[in-house]
Amino acid sequence: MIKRIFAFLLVLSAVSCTGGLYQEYSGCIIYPDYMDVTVPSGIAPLNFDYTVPAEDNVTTFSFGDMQIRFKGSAVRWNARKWRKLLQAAEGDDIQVTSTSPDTAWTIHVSEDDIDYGIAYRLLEPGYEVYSKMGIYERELSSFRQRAILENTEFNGCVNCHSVNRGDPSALSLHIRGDHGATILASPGKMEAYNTRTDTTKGFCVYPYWHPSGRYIAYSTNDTRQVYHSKPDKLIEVCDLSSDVLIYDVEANELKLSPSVRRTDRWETFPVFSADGASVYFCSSAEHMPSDGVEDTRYNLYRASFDVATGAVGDSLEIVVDAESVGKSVSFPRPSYDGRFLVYTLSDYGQFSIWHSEADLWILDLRTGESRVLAGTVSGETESFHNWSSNSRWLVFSSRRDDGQFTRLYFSHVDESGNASKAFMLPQKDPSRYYGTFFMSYNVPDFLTAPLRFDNVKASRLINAPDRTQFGVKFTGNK
Amino acid sequence: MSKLDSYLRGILSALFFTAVALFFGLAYPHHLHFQEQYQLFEWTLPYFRSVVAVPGGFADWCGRFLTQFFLSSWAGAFLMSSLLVAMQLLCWKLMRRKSLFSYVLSFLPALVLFIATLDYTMMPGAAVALDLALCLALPVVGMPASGVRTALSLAGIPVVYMLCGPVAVIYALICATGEKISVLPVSLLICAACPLVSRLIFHFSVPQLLTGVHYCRSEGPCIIIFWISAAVALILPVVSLLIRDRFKSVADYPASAVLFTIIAIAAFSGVKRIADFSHEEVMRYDWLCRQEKWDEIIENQRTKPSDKVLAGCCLNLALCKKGVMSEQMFNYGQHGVQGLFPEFKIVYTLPIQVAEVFWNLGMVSACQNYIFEAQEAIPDFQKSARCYVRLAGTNMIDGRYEVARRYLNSLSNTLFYGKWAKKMAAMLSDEAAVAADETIAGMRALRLKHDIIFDEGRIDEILRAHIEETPENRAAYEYLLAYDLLEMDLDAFKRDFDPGRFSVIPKHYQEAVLMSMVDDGLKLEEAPAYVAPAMVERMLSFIKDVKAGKSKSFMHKKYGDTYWLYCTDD
Repeated sequence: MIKRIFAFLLVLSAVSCTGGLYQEYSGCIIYPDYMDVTVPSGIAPLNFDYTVPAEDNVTTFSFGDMQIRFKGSAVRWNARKWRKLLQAAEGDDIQVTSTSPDTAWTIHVSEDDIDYGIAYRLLEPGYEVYSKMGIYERELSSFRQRAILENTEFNGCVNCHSVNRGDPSALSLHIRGDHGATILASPGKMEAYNTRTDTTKGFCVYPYWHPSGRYIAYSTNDTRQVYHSKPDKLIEVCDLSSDVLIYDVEANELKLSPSVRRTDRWETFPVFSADGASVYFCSSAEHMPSDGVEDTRYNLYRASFDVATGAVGDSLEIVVDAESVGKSVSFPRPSYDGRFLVYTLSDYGQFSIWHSEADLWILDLRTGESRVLAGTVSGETESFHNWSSNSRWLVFSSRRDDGQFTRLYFSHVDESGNASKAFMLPQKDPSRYYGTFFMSYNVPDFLTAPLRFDNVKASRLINAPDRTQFGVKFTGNK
Repeated sequence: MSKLDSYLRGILSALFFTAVALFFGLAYPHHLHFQEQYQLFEWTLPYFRSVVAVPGGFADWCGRFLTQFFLSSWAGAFLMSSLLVAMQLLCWKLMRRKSLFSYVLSFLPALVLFIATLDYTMMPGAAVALDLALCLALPVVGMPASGVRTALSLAGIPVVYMLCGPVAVIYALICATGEKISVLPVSLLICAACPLVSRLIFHFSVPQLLTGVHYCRSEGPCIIIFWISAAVALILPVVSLLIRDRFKSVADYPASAVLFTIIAIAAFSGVKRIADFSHEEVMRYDWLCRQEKWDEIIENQRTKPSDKVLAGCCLNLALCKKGVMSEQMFNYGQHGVQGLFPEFKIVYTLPIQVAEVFWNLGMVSACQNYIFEAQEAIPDFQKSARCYVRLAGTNMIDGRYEVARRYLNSLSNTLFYGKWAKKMAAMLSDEAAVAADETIAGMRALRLKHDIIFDEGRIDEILRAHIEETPENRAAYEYLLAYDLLEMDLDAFKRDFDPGRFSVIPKHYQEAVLMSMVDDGLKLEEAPAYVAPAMVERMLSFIKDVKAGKSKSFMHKKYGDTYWLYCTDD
């Protein structure tokens, strides 16, 4: 009997190893493309596969007197050896050569550290209905992924999540569906809130923490999803109205400022500046649905923020006038050192993940000049992004693999705002993993340490009917 | 026990096996197809690992393994019968004292389980879990009382919990029957600890971990029946101990016969109560549609008309595919435009069928949308081989080859879709081969090239856009006119109807032309030349009968095949 079981498992593993149908990549000889990239010394091994298998191929990694060789078309690192090599090469280049094909490239090891890990949502890139999904955490120095909260624990959709500059102890997390709630978790405290109020449009989404931790900027959006009929475009997510709201965590009050709740404009994606004295947000002129989604374009605005009262100033400044050049801004993210702001630029609308033309742009906050973030660009969508706590690394989502499934990439951004060539989130067996993984990475954010989140308590709160109601306070004229 | 008893035992089990197999094979085959189409069993180690990594995962994996064979209803019937007979035999083996009477009793849990499996939310993995738990209890129960036995029965509980899920409690209690009474509370404590500890490790709620993560596809009454079956399996060994002394061997045969009759009657009424033949009927249409057995659909509706909207949807598609929609659609009961495009609902059953309609009309984006949504709505988060096949197809048509490759890659790991998937995947590197593929080329010719936002409230406009781009899309044209007719929007019909497309104008269009003339107060004698004189005569007769207030049955008998009756019928 044991022999039979053993034979069965042997057959199973043999079948599982046949593969052979994985992605074909025309652009690069290795997958993922780790050629000439810049990586932090604390990153997990960059395992990769040659897209054209050659069993006699020898790949050599050299730095100083260290040489590590791999035979065959799959490069799979021993974690200890990899770490040793990266530590030795910190601030320098590792030379990589391969014999078949005969080529060479470098991997630059940056002296800038990267954070402990990242948090993200995983879900299928679909239309309206969702299957299994959740918020996950990935340690960047290893391949370890941990589920933080999955919708197997309750009936609903795990939605916008946000930590404050990578701080793992404070989290804002929105749940949609029958058990809709916003979970606010801080050290020793977790509560489920109803963020919909009589005076606001709907639930609070797209959270962004104030550096002090006292406020969270939200927007409230009346969102619609529509479906295209032509082959090269599937989905459009658009708003029919939206406002920006500031939530005072200590007072449990939404501070409503008229300048970001205009009836003739739609304001969304609010973020605080690095010093917390300003609010950046995207804003578009109100459009009737009949005008068509393709006419809705968002500019990037800035307004002052009063930390004492939570009020957004009345004077609005256009920081990026995208509309004038027929473009639209979404997902502004200021670097935490106050030097730059990276945003997504697409042809129209605000939900750029379904826009293949969407790219990341960087705004120099000293000069006010914007330029495309060259190291991150591909022919496909680049969309949501976040800065590491030291403002030297950018994590962003991209659909460059196949145009549909969003993967995570990292790019080093130097003092001048130049981004290095992006590298894909490493995996133990990347071709198999990404080739068979039907989920998209969504809303990535850095973590300085493992998230301290009690999922058992959270799901109990979500499943319970009680919600603490968000209060409301007007900070100016209604 | 006598030799006769042995024969009788064999006959009874064979009878049970045959009855269950015949039931599934003849009366309930599409229930099995339904189960198969909502899973994607990949014959790979990562898939195995992902399924077994939750409590009860191994039994679930085994259940999924068996379910892939349900593509053939007779194979499914055989496997379901085997599972149920295995359960009966295991219950019999676990009985302490044997008699023919107790043998008949041993059918009880299997019959209850059989009834539970008739519910379409019940997963075959649940039956495997129960079988496996009983099977694992068997060697422990057979051991003489000792410390090793006690240790095995206690240590086995978390193992069985991980393999089979919460039916580990059945294992624990059966094993505890031969132990000292002090072992029982320890067993119960471990049973209670398993789901509670699991809650800290796995992302499932306590109720799920207590009742089984994958026993049911969604919440429903079947889980209660399943647990009744498990409870009966548990108490049978004890009951057999009590009964033996009352029925000595002389009384064993008549008592067994009476018991057998009672159980058979109870099972029959249970089957009648739980079996959902209405769902089976809809699934039959869906299956025939999936198999493109258009003639069978029409024949089925002709001989045994169904009043289900989904059946009507399949029928209209079948009529269209056979090119007789414009001649025959009003021969059958219609459900308005719902019979063409049933309203979208967030369920896993309906959109999959509507997607078939979109596919056949060349509405590739809408098909992909619906098929994707259907798959995402599968309550137990499984994927569907049927959906993957379609998604691979839509992505290939639209040139998203790397996305298609993902679906094909997964399908290539399946037993029954692997060959097709590998064939299609081989084409992906060769644009010329893809373009030459008959299905893909055909669909590319039909699919919309310019953009229109999909809205199920304005499908007629989308159909018009299709026809404008591809006038040769006959199916879309027939559906558009059917849409106008079913909406009774004769103005739209007049706008959309182009007699020049036909050498002979189809019957229902002639009827609609006459109907619109009546609506407009025109004389029927001035009907266009393409309307047959006999048709005009019949219309006049129809008007006369309506005015005469003829009975409904009379009108149905005389004009039951006309559009006119659809328009005037309540």
